[in-house]
Amino acid sequence: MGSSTTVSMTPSELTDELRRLETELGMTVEIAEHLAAADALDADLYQVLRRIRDLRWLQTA
Amino acid sequence: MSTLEDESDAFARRISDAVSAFIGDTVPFKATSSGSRFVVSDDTDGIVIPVGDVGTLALEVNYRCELDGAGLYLKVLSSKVAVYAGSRPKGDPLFRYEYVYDQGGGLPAGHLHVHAHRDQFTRVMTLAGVSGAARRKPAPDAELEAARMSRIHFPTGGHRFRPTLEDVLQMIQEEFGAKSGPNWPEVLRANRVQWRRHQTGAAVRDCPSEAVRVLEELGYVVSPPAGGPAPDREDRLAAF
Repeated sequence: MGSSTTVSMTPSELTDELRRLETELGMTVEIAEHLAAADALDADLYQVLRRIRDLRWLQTA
Repeated sequence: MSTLEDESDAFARRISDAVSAFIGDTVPFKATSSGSRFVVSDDTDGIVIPVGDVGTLALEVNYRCELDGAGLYLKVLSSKVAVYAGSRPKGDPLFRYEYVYDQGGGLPAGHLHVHAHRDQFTRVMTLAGVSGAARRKPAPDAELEAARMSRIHFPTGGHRFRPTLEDVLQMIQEEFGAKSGPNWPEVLRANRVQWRRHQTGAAVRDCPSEAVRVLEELGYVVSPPAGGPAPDREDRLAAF
């Protein structure tokens, strides 16, 4: 019933995708985090922030 | 497909199967891997859970995992299951269950954050900060954050006995009246049994002496291995 997709990223692909997402966010990640904590971030931008959090974590490996 | 991709895809599929069975419709999940790590998140704009005829809750699910060097053991390094009022997650949920494998710092590995406000909580947290409790000391750039109730980590049973995604989903069903899909009861039961079997095995590895004691009490005859009994892992038993 469920469905899944997988994406494998090289370090350079991670960097490029993060750069693209940070541009899409339109503000610093720190400001976005403050807005999210205050429930004041747009829902679409929160999805972008979630993805940034995940990719940043993968980058720390 | 590499082992990491196999494992991450299977993990994402298991999570998707569980959430889809609860919702009664397919909820896609995405696994993104790099190096020896992978992240599994819902591949949606928010998992919408109908409540009653007009209300909705939204679910956010995230797992961060690692495969060991030999590619044999999958380790969940952290997980988050957050429940929001409304139909879209925006960052400030009603509550979130989290697990952090390598938590440290005096905080529990498995824990619950409640995003609510109560004056008495804020007062006690502020007093704790004034009294020197390190956890409640405000950071210079976030003076108002240290006394937020959502900053409290309510412990939920440690590494072995923490609640699962399925437990949170059942709680949403029971407490908020969310309607589940037709296959949910079977999936819930099967997944919970599988999880608790797995965790029982892990708990035995943490404390073989107690496993031997109970088995002997049940009439089993247990022989130690040639190299001597495996030691209890006091560090794991004592972990917060």
